[in-house]
Amino acid sequence: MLETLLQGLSSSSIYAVLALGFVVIYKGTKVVNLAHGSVMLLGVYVISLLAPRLGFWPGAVIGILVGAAGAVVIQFMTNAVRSKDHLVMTIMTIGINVMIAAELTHEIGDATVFTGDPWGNRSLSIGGSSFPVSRLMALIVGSVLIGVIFAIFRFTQFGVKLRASAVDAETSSLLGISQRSVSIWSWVIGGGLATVGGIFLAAFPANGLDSGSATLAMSAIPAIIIGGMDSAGGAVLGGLIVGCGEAVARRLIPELAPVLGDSFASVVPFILMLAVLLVRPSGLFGSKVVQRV
Amino acid sequence: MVKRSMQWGIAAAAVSVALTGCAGGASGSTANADGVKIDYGVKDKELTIGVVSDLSGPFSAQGQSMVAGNQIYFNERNTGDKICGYTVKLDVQDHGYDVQKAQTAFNGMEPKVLAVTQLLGSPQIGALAPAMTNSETTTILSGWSSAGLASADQPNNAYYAVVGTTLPVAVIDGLSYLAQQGAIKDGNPIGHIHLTGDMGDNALKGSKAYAKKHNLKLTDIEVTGQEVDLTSQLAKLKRAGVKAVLVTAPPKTTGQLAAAMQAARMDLPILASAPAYSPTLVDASSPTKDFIERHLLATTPLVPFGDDTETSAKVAKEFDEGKKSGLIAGSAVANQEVNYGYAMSVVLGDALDAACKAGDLTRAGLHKALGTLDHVTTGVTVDLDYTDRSRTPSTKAYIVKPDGSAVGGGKLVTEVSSDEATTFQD
Repeated sequence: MLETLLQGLSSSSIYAVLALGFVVIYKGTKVVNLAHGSVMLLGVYVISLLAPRLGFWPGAVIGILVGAAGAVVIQFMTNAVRSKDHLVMTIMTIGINVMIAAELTHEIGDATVFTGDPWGNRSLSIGGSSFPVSRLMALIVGSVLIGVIFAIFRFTQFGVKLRASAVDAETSSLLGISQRSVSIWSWVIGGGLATVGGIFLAAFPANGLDSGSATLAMSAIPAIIIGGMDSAGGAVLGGLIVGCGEAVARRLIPELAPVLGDSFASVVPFILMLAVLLVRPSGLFGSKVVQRV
Repeated sequence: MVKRSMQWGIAAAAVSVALTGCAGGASGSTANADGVKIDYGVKDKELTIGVVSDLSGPFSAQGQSMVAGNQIYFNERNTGDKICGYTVKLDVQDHGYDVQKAQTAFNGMEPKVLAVTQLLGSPQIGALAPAMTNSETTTILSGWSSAGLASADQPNNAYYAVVGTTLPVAVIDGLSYLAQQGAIKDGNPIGHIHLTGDMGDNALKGSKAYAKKHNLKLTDIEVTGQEVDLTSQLAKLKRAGVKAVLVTAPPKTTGQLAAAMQAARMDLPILASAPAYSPTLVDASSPTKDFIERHLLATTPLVPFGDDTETSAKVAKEFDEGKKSGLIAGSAVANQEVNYGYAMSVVLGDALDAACKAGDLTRAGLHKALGTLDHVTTGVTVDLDYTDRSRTPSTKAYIVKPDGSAVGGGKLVTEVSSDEATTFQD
């Protein structure tokens, strides 16, 4: 039971970090970045190239910066379209995702990308169960990052601007808030968070990422839908629900697999997402869309 | 009246000619200067062979390495003992793992090639089978599923050739090796983690057959290859008390399995089917490198790349030279797929030699010649027999031990064969 809880919490923190990346970008620009997975893989790939020469920590810092810069490039590309329709921009990110993924596939080939993180394959014995140190670090780093992001939202000028823009971009613009600046910084944070999430997705016991791992970031989609697209708190709660739900489902594999199949645990987040959507279409903490007709 | 009869007669003859033309590729053959019958793919002193592979999609790394193997073999033949006096030219087409593109690529090359020395991708193999049969194009497959064999159920596979031991047979050989080593005993529980779909299901037939014969309690677990980790799946095997774990899935899944076993302190043997093992698993930066080197064995028809066996060493040397000379694409990776591509072309090369010797280098002649080969020695695979295309070309497999210090990431342990593999019906 304790093992399941710890597994759930550590998975939750990875999902929450990835989901927060989606949400920050959405709050700042109303664009759902469907190239989030490719940005994640790009950052992790850069770390894997640099870590053997520079060490993990300098490599990780540069990788996170590259992830952030990659996200900003996507922001420029989506912003270059004449239409300022957010749906068009979101669809553009699909095309950009295909381009980045194709190049990364070419670069990575059939190799497995390892970050050379310092936690390696070490495990702790907790309550008689073995728990990987990397997952414990995911829990700690995820919690700290979430705290930092919330502090930025709450106590910094950027946070105030971001929240104001999320509520009403036009009015906040008239009040002197630069939408361009808010947009760029949202993508910077989103790209950086994607790479941090990727570092832990690649860590033991996951055993690295391959060229097709960009799709793993999409596993955070149920978390943001459950929590609400524009709610940072919702993203964390969504991550918690998805991570713990999946951990419980995996714990039940031996009992339920004969009926539901071995892969049913991977479907659980989507079942939870559908259940929430039926009751609250905007997610648990998402803003309700009001349209005057 | 006579005029009308003549008109009908000419029309009937025209329809007959048209239908004959559509029915097969063997029509319209001629003879070359040496009296050898030829039809497609031969022009002047050049013989064109097709390659339909993934050079830009998810399996591009494997595809490029296999193409390198194809190029190494035909370069050897072009510069040495030429095939029937012809210089072989490869027409390499990329399908990017897209079925539509594969069909377009093959349709485009079909009138210009005699045979295909590499067709990569299960969906593409399934989709192109009728076209290969209609055009009588002998095609060498990339893949070891017995779904590629010809049988009464799969008549469209008549022109396909599998290069190596089929997956279920290799699994049986691997299990019998574990039994010989005392790692498993009759009545023991074992686990099999396998990919959903053709590859995994096919290998599972082998483990089920062996388990039935030796009263093993088999726990099989399906995976999609998209799992974040395999901790929970492993819990099921731990509860079953398994003594060994088989894996037939992408190498990434094999790495996850090893990591989960290491975390759970399950010091058990892992038996990996050929597609589940890659030298990247023993990459120096992998946290599971040592565990994999100590616990994993691969059961495969392939000799590791760069192994000190004569042909594998020669292929590795020619790979390096080919890269320097520009014959081989700079993006091709030195791994076991190079050996695999080489072996595919050796099989086709031997069939072309046999067809030439029989005086019939047409598509029909090549198909017939391949069926006469009862002992193809590629030097980088187990020896192969194509006299019965409904059966695995070999019932033997190599046991390969991962070794990060080896050029190809593995060392050849031994060749295994078993009664269970010989009597198994694919």
